[in-house]
This record gives sequence, C-alpha cells and structure tokens, in this order.
Amino acid sequence: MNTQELLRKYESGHTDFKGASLRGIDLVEADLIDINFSNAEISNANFMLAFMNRVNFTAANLTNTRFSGANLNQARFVRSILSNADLHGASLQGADLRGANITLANLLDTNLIDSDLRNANLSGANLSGACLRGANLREEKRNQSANLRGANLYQTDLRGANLSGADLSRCNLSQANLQDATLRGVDLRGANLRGANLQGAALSDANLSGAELGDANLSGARLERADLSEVKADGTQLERTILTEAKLVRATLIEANLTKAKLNRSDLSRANLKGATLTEAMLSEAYCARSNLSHSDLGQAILIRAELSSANLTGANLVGATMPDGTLYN
Amino acid sequence: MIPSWLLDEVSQKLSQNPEHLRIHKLAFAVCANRWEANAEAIAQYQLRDLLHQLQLTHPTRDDLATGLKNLAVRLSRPKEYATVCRALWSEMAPLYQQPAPNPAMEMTSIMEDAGEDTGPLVQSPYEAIANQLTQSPNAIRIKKLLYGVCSGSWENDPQVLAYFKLPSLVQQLHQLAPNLEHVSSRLNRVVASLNRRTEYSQVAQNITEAMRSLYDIEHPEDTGPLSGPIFQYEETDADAQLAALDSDELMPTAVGAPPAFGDYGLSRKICAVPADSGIGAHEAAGYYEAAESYEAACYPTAVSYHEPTALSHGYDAYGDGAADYHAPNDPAINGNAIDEARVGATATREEISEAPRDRSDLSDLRVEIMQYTNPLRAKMLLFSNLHHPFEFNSPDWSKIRAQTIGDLLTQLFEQHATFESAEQTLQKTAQQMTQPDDYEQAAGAIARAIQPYY
Repeated sequence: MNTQELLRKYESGHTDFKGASLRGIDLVEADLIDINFSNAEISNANFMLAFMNRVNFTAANLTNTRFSGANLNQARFVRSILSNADLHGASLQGADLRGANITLANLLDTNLIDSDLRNANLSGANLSGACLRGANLREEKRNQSANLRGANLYQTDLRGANLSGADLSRCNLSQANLQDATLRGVDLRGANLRGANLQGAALSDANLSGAELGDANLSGARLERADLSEVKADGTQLERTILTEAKLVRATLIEANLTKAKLNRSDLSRANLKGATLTEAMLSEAYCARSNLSHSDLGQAILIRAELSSANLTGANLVGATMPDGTLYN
Repeated sequence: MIPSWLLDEVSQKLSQNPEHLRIHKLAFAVCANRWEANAEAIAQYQLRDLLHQLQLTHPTRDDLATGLKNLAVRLSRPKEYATVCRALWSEMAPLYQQPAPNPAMEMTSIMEDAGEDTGPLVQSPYEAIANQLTQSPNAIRIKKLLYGVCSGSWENDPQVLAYFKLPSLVQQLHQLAPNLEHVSSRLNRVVASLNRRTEYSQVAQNITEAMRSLYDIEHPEDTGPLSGPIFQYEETDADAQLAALDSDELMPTAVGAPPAFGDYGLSRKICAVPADSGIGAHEAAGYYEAAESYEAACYPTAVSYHEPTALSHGYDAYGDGAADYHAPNDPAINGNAIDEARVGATATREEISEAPRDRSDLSDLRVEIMQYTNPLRAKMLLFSNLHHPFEFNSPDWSKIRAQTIGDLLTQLFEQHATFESAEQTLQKTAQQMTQPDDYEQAAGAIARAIQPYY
C-alpha cells in the first residue's frame, strides 16, 4: 500500500490497518489520529511532524522509523519494536510503551510525561533533554524493570520517577533532574551525575561507586548503606543528606557541603574532605581512618565514638563539637 | 535633548572610575529596576545610553538622588554602593545643566519655581495629562505604549512599568516630537509593530488627543485662550483613587487657591486626595487589576499583574554578585500567587514583585514548553532565532541534534537581556518561517514559559 492509497482509505473512514505492510511509507505531517497499525510492518517509514494521537501501534515493527516532531500523545506502543527509531522532539505524553523495544532509539527532547515504560528496553537510547515526569518505569517483576543500560540521560527530566532496581551504570546523567526520584538499590557505578539535581531522592542501598557527583545537589537525599566508594564529589551539596552506614572509602569530597548531614557509622576511610563543611553533622561511630579533614569545618558536629586517631585534622574547626570521648571541644 | 558629545564625555569619565563596573551595574539597575549580576548581560547596554535613560527618567538631580538612594538601600552592600551612587550622581551633574529645549520645558521650570512658593498646589501640564490618561480604561496600555515610544522597546512587566512615571513619559514624548503630527506618527509606528493593533490604535489616538494641549500652548494664537482639558480638570472619585496610588504625588485637596501660572494666568483644580481620605488603596488596586485583566487573560500562564502595589519583597536585597541575591522565602510571592491581603494592607505605592526563576535548572521551563507546543518546532524556532533559518538538510539536522532544548534556551537567555527583546525576536523569527502559523504558536508558548525567568 502506498501513501496515497492509505490516505484515501483513511479519509473515507477506514482506520483499521492491522497487520498492514507499510514498510518505508512516507507520511510526513499526515493527520492519522486514532488509526490502528497494530501488528503492522512499518519499518523505515517516515511520520515526521505527523498527527498520530491515540494511534495503536501494538506489536508493530517500527524499526528505523522516523517520528521526529510527531504528536503521539496517548498512542499505544505495547510490545512494539522501536529499535533505532527517531523520536526526536516527538510528543508521547501518556503513551503506553510497556514492553517496547526502544533500544538505540533517539528520544532527544521527547515528551514522555506520564508515559508507561514498564518493562521497556531503553538500553543505548538517547534520552537527552527528554521529559519523563510522572512516567512509570517501575519494576513489574524481578529483573523486569525498565532497562536503561548505557542510555544517554543528559538533562533528562526524571523528577519523581521510580527507577528502583534499574541499571544505570556508566550512564550519562549529567544535569539530569532526579529530584524526589526513587533510585533504591540502583546501579549507578561510574555514572556521570555532574550537576544533577538529586534533592530529596531515595538512593538507599544504591551503588554509586566511582560516580561523578561534582556540582550535583543531593540535599535531603537518602543514601543509607549506599556505596559511594571513590566518588568524585568536590563542591557537592550534601546538606542534611542521610548517609548513615554509607561507604565513602577514598571518596573525594573537597569543599563539599555536608552541613547537618547524617554520617553515623559511615566509612570515610581515606576519604578526602579537605575544606568541607560539616557543621552540625552527625558522625557518631564514623570510621575516619586516614581521612583528610584538614581545614574542614566540624563546628558543633557530633563525633561520639568516631575513629579519628589517624585522621588529618590540620586547621579544622572543632569549636562546639562533641568529641569521640563525649567531651565538648572549645 | 542632551548633546551627544556631553553624554560621551560623562560616560567616558565614569568609565575611567575604578568602580566603573559597579557604576554600570547601578545605572542598569536603576533603569531596568532589576539587579543583573551577569557582567556580560550588562555589557550589552552602553553606559552612555543608560545615562541618557537615567536623565530622562529622572528629570531633576533630586529625582536622580532619590532613585539612586531607593536602590542603594536595597543592596546587600550598601556602604560600597553609597560611594558608587555618589560618584554617579556627581558625574552626571553636567547632564542637568542643559537649557530647556522648548517653551513647554520652560513652562515646567516656571511651574517648578512657582511650586516653591505655592507649595503642593502646583501641577505640571505633564502631570495633568498623565492624570487625564489614567482615567482611561486603557490606562495600562497607554503607559505601555508611551514607554514603547520613549524607550524604543516593549515592556509588559508591570514591575518595570511601575518604575516609570507617566508624567515623565509624557514629557519625554513631548521632547521627542516637535509637533502633534510627530506624536501621532511615532505612536503609530510602534502600534504597527504590535499584535493588537486595533486596540492600540485607539490608545495612540487617546494619547495624541491628550497631548494636543501641550502643542496648543506652544501656539496659543492658533487656539485662542488656553482651555484644553488638562486645565479644566475636575476631580472625580476615580481620579482620586488613581491619584491615591501614587503617594509621591499625594497632595492636600485643593480648595480654590488657583496658583499663578506665570504669564498664562491659568487656574485649575488639583486632582489629589489626602492619604487618609478613606479611599482605600485596595479599591484603587482593583481598578488597575480590572484594567489589566484582558491582557492577563491572553497570557494565562503569565505572572498576574498587580501594577499599583509595590511591596518589593521580591527584591528585598540586591548584591554585587549572584551569591548576594536573596530570593524571597515567601512562597506566595515566589510563586504566581500574590498575597491579596498584603495588597489590601499596603498603603499605596508598594509593589509585590517576583524574583525571576532560577535559570540554573530549566527543567520546569522545558516541561512548560513541551506541554504547550511541539518540542521539535520549538527547537527549530529557537535554532532559527539563534543561528540561521532552519533548513531541512543534513547539516542543520546534525546541529539541532547536537543540542537539547535546554541548551538552546540557555543561549536565548544569554542573547536577550530582557523578556521583551526575546519575545519580539521569537515572533519575528516565527513570521519568517515557511509555516508561520505553527511557529507563531511555538513562539507564543515559549514566550509565556520564559517570562517568569526574566
């Protein structure tokens, strides 16, 4: 079926193209609202700037298809193949993408607000600038959460998104908005989170070892038991961040702001906290073997039973701090 | 008009001052009524132009002193800026020693002189015209159009507009236009560039009519005895309410006592009420809100306008750098909501102003744009605006794919120091695209979304 034939049929009221073979069809800027393309073969097609609200693409093959700038709000892509598809600047607000194969697709600046991405495979996809607020990425079954391995999430808006259990290792999440996102147990090893907004995010038990956190904002985030070994977090905002029992071995936290942070029973061995602000921080039983706390501000910090015997405290301010033996420093 | 060489001379002298950067910032802040910490953004405005603007908006040295003082007290480094204020004020002295450009100006001087003798009963013809114009249901638009003609740029921000006095704008236009035909043509030139031309044509006509008397004064032989509307001004409740908005101009109710008007021998009534006259500022504020509601309805997501209130908590402190800037904590002010109770309680010319939103995180802005327009079209428009008209060829696709909508918006903010400049250029770009309707829709959506960031 060619373009003219399809458009003629659609205009005459025919909307069911289930299982149709439309490979390479050119429907740029076409108006195809509510059309049914389920199980259709539409690879290498061009739907640029088309109006396709509520279109049904269930189980359709859309490999290499171009949807840039298309309006696909509330469209159904359940189990469809969008591998290598171009969705640059498309609008998929409220779209159903459950179980879709979106690997290596281009989702640059795509509107995915309130979309359903459960069990979708987004590995290697480019989601730079995409907005996923209110999107559902929740783990349906064990090992069936949205797969974002190797995805580019630069400036991606994932505010409030649930990414529990997701594999985000080595992902580029720089300047991403992860405010209030749920990232419990997420694999963020070696991820680039520079300048990311993680305020109030839940990262308990997450693995962030080797991650880049420079200029990121983690104020009020929860990182209990998280692994932050060797993270690079110079100048990072960690005010009131909960790092209880977190592992910060060899972490670089030069001039980081840890005011009122909870670091009880955390492992700060060999961490570099030179010039960091730890005013009123809670460091009870913290393990600071060979930690560099020189020129840091520990004013009014709680250091009860903390291991500080080999820590470097040169030039540190300890006024008002409760020392490991329970005495008040003045 | 101030001679160009004099402006150059004064600005050059100020540029040699060791505090020239702060002087530049200060001059910009007084002109724009907002603090800009970004030196690059300020550098886009030439100091001589800012000085000219300062002189125009502060017709006397006392006005300038008040303007500078009002700003300085809001800065977080008042001591440093007190010195800067003094330097600026004293170096600008030559700009205030120019002869009055025309008879009307001379008359203003006469009236100012007379004012010393007769106290608060004297009112300049510009004030009288301004008062007449504020009676119009189009009062806000009148001010916008006058501002547009005088400054050469469009301004929708009530906070900025509130800073400019209507009498000063009338005076500026009078100085710019040698005759009434020039007034009309200057106004209509601006109207031609606006979206709502029909509405603003009427506004232009109102202004022209109101200013007729100024030119009649200059040619009294043409019109006989001066009897223009400004000199037969009658006080009404609405006038009183409007006058009450501006405490600077509050004067005791005039009872007779026609002042001697130099050689013109005029008499008139004064349009003001005492502060305790029982006419609430809240009612007056309501008048303004009603006047602005049409505009606000056209921009549903834009900030609500409350022009006559000025509570300034949004800018309760200015600093030398971004770190000194203290955003308001009050969510009612920080958001779009305005604390109505406070408006009611506020005496007169205090204004609630909103701090511009933080540009370091544009995720809310992107959501706003994505939800109200096509993200790809928005990008194409921004790209065309910032670089060259987007062509559907490979090199342009590569360029547009190499940056996010957030990157393009950041560039837009860098290129345009004011909202009006950004809005106008977006509309202009949209009109030059192959499918202008679609892009104009995008331009509108972007403009609405970016406004709170200015």
